Amino acid sequence: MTLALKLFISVLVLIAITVPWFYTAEASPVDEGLPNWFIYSLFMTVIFSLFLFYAIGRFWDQLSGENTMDSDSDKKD
Amino acid sequence: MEKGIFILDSTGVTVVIVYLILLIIIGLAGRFARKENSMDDFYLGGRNLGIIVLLLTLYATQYSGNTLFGFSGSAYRNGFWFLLSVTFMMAVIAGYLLYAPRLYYLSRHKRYLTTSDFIQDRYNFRPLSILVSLIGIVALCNFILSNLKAIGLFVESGSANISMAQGVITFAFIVVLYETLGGMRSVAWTDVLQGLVLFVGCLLIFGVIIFQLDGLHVLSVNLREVRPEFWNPPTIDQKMSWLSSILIVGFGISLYPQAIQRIYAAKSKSVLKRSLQVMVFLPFVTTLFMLTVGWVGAAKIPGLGKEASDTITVQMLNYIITEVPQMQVLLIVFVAAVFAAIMSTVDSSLLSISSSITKDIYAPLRPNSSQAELTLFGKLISWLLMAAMTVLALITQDTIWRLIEIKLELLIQIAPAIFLGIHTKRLCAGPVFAGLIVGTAITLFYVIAIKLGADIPDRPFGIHAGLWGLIVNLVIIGMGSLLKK
Repeated sequence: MTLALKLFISVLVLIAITVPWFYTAEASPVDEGLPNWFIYSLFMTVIFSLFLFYAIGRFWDQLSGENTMDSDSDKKD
Repeated sequence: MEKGIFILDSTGVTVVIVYLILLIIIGLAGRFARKENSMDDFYLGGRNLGIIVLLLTLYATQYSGNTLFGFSGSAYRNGFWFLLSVTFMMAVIAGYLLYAPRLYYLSRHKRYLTTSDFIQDRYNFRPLSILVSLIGIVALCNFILSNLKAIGLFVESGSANISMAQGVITFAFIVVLYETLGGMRSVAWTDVLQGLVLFVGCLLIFGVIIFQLDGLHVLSVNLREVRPEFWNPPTIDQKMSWLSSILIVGFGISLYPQAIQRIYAAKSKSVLKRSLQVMVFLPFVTTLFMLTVGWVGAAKIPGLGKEASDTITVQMLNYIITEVPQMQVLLIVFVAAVFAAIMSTVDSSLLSISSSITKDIYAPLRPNSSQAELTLFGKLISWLLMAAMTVLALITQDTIWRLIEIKLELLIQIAPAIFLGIHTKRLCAGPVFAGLIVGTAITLFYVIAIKLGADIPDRPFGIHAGLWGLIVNLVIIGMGSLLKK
């Protein structure tokens, strides 16, 4: 599995878990303050942002393929 | 709409006029900084944007009038559910992460100017690169339209005697003037000012709402009395729509032709990397702040309809001035921020359309044209296009948010050609072209059918038509590639 594919899957998973799938009307009684599912989603979005910050710094050079791919070989047809 | 205190009073109008003059001066400075009369210099600023300019032009371009009006309006109507907009503005950077490193590297070696330059270089199939270019042009026209509409609404609802038409025509003229003066250099430099003003404006309105209006108390107590349904967790359809929106909007925005041109225009790899790392966190201090305006607005000014709720930001500003009169001077900054957000997006889109028409469509038809002739043709296109968009902005009825969605549902169709094309050598032009045509056709058919009043769900199973189109698009690419083997 290539790095780009691994990152794409990681991004999809992180995006998917920002959605409050497990919060339902029965499971989330109205308490004081903001809704639980809102807090959960906001927290997961913070996690997502930290992941992106790290991934850009850590994997940029590998994703650019500067040392592993010949740019001319990209042409196919 | 009820009109009380007008944001664009004589002081507000003076500030706006000074601001517009400043933009023209910066545009002129961009013109005098020109190094050569070439498309590379005009459309990409000589590929020499440093960290501050690149970051702020990316920021000002990504966060538009839609952020200030469309998002707060949607937050007003949909409640906390619209928190998803923070995630999709962040997903834009995830989109860049997946293709920008390689695309930037290639663009330095192959001197790409437009998105279609990469497509043509990668697939060597002219119909595909022209189709990608056309989709980009249609999507960006929609973008300009929604932003001109936003500026018209703002001017009309924020002033006593300036009409929507006067607002739209004035701002369209100023934008096209400085854009054609200095191209990308003028646009990026004005974006620095506009980005700063936008950022300060968002901080300001959020600060006033939280500290002067006791915003947190309003959100947790007053809002629940007025709109208790905001506390309900999303239904399964809403959750599907939540995910669908993040994918459509996040990855769609990352494919904006003007954003791709900013990737080409970065001075160096490290400049681009650092800019994107900062961009990751900006949804928290821009999108989330504007959502708060919509949510607090729902508690303070309840009962607005669909169209009126798109002006909730203006109405909240009016409300703040009424409640806290000493805030009037500070809120002038926000007025400038609105113009900054809208104008910076319109100028970037206009420049990008102009480059696409000139480089991807006109230049292949006139292969012997000089760089100066092509640049001149591009400027002429900008003027004609802006005139047409101004007329359309005055007669279009869709809400701002719906206009954004239509644009992104089209743009997302080119995602496989770029994302997959950049990372796999096995992809062929034929399946990509077929997938793009079918995906776009499905999206357009659905959008037009709904527009004509067809009795079909707006989003089947909560998923946008554009995402269904993308799924079919990917299936065709997959099957086509297997058959080709």
